[in-house]
Amino acid sequence: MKRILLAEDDENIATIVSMCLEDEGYEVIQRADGIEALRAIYDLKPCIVLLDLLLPRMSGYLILRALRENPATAELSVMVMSAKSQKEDIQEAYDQGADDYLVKPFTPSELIEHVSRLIDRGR
Amino acid sequence: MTIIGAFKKSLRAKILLGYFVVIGILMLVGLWTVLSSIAINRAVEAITIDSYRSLAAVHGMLNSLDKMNMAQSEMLLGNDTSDNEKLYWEADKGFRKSLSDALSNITYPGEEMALNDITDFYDAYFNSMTNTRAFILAGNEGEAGLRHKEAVSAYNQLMLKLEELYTINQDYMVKSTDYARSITSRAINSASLVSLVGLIVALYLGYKVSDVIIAPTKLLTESARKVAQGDLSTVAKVGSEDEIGILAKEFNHMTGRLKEYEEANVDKLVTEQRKSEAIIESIADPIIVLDKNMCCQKVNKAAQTVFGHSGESCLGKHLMEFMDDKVVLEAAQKCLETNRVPSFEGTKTIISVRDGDDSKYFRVEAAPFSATGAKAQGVILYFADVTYFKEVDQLKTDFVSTASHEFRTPLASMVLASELLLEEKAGDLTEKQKKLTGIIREDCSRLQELVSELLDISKLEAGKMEFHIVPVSLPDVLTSASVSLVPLFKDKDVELAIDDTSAMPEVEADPKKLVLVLNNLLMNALRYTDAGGSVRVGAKTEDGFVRVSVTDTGIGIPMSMQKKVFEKFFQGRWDEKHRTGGAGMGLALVKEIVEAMSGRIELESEEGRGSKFSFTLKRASKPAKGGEGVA
Repeated sequence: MKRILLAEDDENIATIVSMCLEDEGYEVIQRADGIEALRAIYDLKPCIVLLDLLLPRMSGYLILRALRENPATAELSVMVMSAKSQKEDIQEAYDQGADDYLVKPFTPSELIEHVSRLIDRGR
Repeated sequence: MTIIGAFKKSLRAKILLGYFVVIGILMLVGLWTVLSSIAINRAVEAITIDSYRSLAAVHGMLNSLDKMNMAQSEMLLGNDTSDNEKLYWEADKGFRKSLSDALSNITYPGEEMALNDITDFYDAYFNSMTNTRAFILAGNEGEAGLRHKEAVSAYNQLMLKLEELYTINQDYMVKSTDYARSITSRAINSASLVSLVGLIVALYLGYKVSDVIIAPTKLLTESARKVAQGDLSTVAKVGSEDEIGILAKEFNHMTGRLKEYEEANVDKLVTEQRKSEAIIESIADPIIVLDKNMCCQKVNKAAQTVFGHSGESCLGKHLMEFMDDKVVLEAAQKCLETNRVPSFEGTKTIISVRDGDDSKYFRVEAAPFSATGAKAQGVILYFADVTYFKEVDQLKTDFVSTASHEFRTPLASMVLASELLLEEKAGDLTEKQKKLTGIIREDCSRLQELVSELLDISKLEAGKMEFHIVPVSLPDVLTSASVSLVPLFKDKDVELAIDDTSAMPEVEADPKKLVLVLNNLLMNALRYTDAGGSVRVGAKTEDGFVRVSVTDTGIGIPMSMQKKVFEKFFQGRWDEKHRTGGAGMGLALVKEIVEAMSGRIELESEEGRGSKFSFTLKRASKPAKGGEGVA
């Protein structure tokens, strides 16, 4: 089963996203703060990471940089989720090393489409 | 250097000249008197010496003749003694002597001829007399008688001539006396006249000479006076070349230099003034310079355009004539009185000016100016154009208001729909469905709250929020505010302590809004305090106020952010862990409400130790009617 790490602090969104993905047959690990998320990534080695930019204790970008600097996770697929929809913000995310960008609010089908595409790419 | 040149250059020479003229006149008078004296002397001489001598000689001759006659008579009477003879010959000697005296003293015309005749007649007489004597002695009386007749005739003629001589001399004596007298009187008159004339001339000269000094001195004094009064173009017109003339020349040099200096300074001043004026004119915002009577001294172009007056008509107008705005007048007056830039709160100094259909907004700033620094001579008013900012602010407020309204409708339906679903009015729900619907409902609530906050704030700013200020009792409000939060505190394991405020006086407040404020502060306190910490609510009296405070033992707020927490849209980003999900409106709203109730909110905080939010409320003047208006 493909393991997905969800780094998201909003409980409600986390619940729904998990539900969606689990329905599609993915395993979802949820962590609500940045440091926990990073630890989980190293420990549990997910296929992809769904990363909310505004996490407590460690921001999304910092996590991204940490992942990219570590050779073990440099190639790990990361999808950024954010409410910011401006072109500059999207570009910023890609510059920092994101592989994909999902704008909140998104529909379940959008979510599934992006996730499967990312996983396929990563193979 | 010629004598005349040297003379012209010396004041002393001129003065001395005057003296010398006077002395000269004096000497003239003296000379005149001397000459007159000499003339008188001459006349006197004539009298004493000349005439007198001649008269004396005549007397002598007459005397001698008498003697001779006597001797002759004696002889004729027969008394012919030797003494008689002696007498006769002595008389003759005497006569001749006198005659020679007279001859040696001939001074006047006629004297010589008379004396010649006298000589002749005497000779004839003497001869006749001598012959007569001889004939008498000879006894020839006949011849003696003839001779005697001759003698008598000669004698008579002699006497005539002697008389003539006498008269001549006497006349001349009288004439000389008269002459002396006339000379004397003439001398007196002329001397007097000359003296008088001399006096007049001396006085005149004295006046003229002193004029030589006084006139130029007066001119100089007059010029100096004019210079002192500010007329630097006067020239002391002293033409002489003497010391005073030199003084005048130097004086003129001096005023010339003063004038140059003044002109240079005036130039500088004018340049500076022009520069200032150019600067003022070039500024795009209105500037008005007022004097201490609040009348316009200077109005730049921008001011003229904005306030709709133009050019020269502005000057001298009182500020209130120029723009009918009490705020500006107050600012200017305050500035003038205190001789300092006045400080005002917030938006008090923003005035609006109509510009066609629109309004322009300006923030008024006032600064005093003075010549010496002690008292203000006037005020400079600067109007900063804040129209843009005001418009932006207005836009924002309008937008927020509109958006908030727009949000409410869909939100309302979402809440309704999800509620219905949850109540299973649309059919039974599976657990998963319930869960999902619950999530929807929850987030809708959050949105609603957010929209409410936004709306509240925009209403407050637009001045449309309603406040019902009534006397409020604190214990009631505190209870209302905290009761709904007690479970939340419990869940997070943070202690909530509410002081006993029953002893506190009542306050003037809108109960609902006050509850909102406390609710907000308590929620924040809870949010930023970790488990094990505590939050305390208390109140105390202060002057005429009551200060309510919410103190927590949370993470505190860094100094750099303490002012910002009350700003709109400010979210607590200093600690990611305690980030809120709201729009950052909470504290901004709290501040606005507190201020709308005439209070002030303050923050004391130390990072890592906790925060204390406190605000003041006015004491109520009348007691509350138990529990009125508290939800």
